[in-house]
Amino acid sequence: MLVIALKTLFGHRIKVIGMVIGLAVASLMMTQQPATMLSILSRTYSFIEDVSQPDIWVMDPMVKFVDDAKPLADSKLGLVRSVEGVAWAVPIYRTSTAARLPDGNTANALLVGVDDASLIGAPATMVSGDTADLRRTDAVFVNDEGARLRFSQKLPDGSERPLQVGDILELNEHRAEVVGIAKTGATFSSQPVIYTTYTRARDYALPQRKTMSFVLAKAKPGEDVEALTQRIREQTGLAAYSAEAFKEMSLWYFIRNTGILINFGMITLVGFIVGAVVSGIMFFNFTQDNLRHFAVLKAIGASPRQLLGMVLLQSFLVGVIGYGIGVGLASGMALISSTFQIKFTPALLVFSAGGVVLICILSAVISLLKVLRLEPAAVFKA
Amino acid sequence: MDDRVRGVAAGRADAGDTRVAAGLARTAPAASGRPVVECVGLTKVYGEGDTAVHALRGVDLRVEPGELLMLVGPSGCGKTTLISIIASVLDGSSGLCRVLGHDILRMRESEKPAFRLKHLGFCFQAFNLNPCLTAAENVAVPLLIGGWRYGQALARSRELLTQVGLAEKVDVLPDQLSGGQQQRVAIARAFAQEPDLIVCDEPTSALDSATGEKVLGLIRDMTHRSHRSVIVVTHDARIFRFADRIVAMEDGRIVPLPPGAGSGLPVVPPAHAADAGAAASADVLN
Repeated sequence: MLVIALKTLFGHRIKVIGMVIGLAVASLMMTQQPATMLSILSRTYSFIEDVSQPDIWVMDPMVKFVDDAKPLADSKLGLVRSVEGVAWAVPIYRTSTAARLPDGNTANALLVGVDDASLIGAPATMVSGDTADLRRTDAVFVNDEGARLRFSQKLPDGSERPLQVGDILELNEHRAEVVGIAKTGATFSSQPVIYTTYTRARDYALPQRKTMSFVLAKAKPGEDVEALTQRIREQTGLAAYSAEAFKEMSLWYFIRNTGILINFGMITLVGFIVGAVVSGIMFFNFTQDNLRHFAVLKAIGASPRQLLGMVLLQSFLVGVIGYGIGVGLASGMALISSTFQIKFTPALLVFSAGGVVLICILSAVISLLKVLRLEPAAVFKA
Repeated sequence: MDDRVRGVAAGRADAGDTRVAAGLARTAPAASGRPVVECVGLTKVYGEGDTAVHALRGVDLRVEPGELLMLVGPSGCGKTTLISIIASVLDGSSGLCRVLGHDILRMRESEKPAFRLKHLGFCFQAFNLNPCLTAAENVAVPLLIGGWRYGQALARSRELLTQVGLAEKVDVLPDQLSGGQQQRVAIARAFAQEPDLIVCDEPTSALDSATGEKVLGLIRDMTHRSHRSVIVVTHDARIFRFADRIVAMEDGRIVPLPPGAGSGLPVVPPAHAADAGAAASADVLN
């Protein structure tokens, strides 16, 4: 029976192509758009993920998301360190700065100052150079995406050259030598990130009375992080969140205050609807064209279960082909996009596959109603 | 292979057990002498009240084992309705309709597909071959429905297509076959699962006279050789001579045959018609 189903399906090439195109477009949009959205949203908390060691982030109570750092007085560091259960606490500094490149161009960048002694807050993965190199005079790290894109320099022959170890930057008329390229998550605004020590970062930045953006704290072994977070809040009057909670807070701030979710969600929904309508109509048409043959099968003795199996197999098969093409196209688009990294998570692929399965089921159900209600006596009509 | 049809391939030796298991007791009409089809006072009414259409008005009909019966009459007289009820693809309104001992009017809907698959073969006016399947695959359709493996079903189809003179056309699509060849494929399909009763609806109306006669000769030959019963609905007077018996219908009733309509009928009892048919078969197939 399945052979009959397959041969009948592929005997209608134009309709199969139509169904596959509909499903491919649907799965492309249902995969590519959410992937882009998730990639953008993941940038809202990439800085928190890059700083992996601390359990707790302490900040001004008015901070709403990670880029909204409000400077704290350095004395707050001592307050946090004095809370019982804190193993260590270090300052971290984040600010915007303008960097002059070796070729004379300038570009805005995010300047991060990490604890001078421990270098906690420095990126964990280096593309070139070593974390300890940050202790050298005028040393800075630059994130790889920044080095490759915004900090790339145009050579006299017209070609582009990424920023490299050994290049010299100028930050607020201070010399900064690139001693390492770090692998970090991209920032929301795609700004390059320059890492240096806390003290040096204060020198690079414009003079400010308060400079500390966050205090990064680690719980002592066996200490309950949530309880410690609560204690820090109570004893310092500052806001304190676990790294996970701070990520979630930053993410929801962007979801609530930007149209990202609605815009991408709408496009994803449109993809689903277009796919469902195109494939549904094509599949219904295909079934309609074959009603007589379904009637013959019913008359000969095919059971409703067998007919159901045939229709579901046909629907499932075009679904698999369409989904494969759609996801393939989405992956291809992600591969050729050098400036924007799109992540395809297994959950996302399951989501889009679920969408395609839903379309296939809807299409099959509409067709099945027609087939199952069909009178086998129709075969005797000329 | 599905138990429902395994009996076909295995010379039907074990078919009885499986049919009983499926709730459809095996009958042996030829051996028992019981009629294959027995309709008594069968009616069919479409619609209700003033708009009711009485398609059948108390039809009494018997079809004997091994008999090729032709059902004739003008359009709208109820022929197709009658064979649709006999073939269990349409419900009758009242009366009795026994096919191979089964009361069709009281048979549950869920039992009908299995009943048709085991006992009935179909041959249609419009051939109803699937254009996406080869001739052999079209013949194999009932076998595949019955659960045969694809390879085995195809092998059996080739045998049948050879029997109907289409050995060279097994892998050809229907649209590359002539009308007569397509009807022969349909005949092979009707015989594929070795049914007890074959129902043919205007099998020659889409064919020229010579081809129509060949097709009917083939049906008669295959029927009589295997001692199966056939009901042929037709308008085509040219093929009346192939019938063992002709029954005329008018306004939903069985009526006496018009004078001269049955001239040339072989005056042999159905049980002996096989011999007459076999003699003609070589000519037909060649």
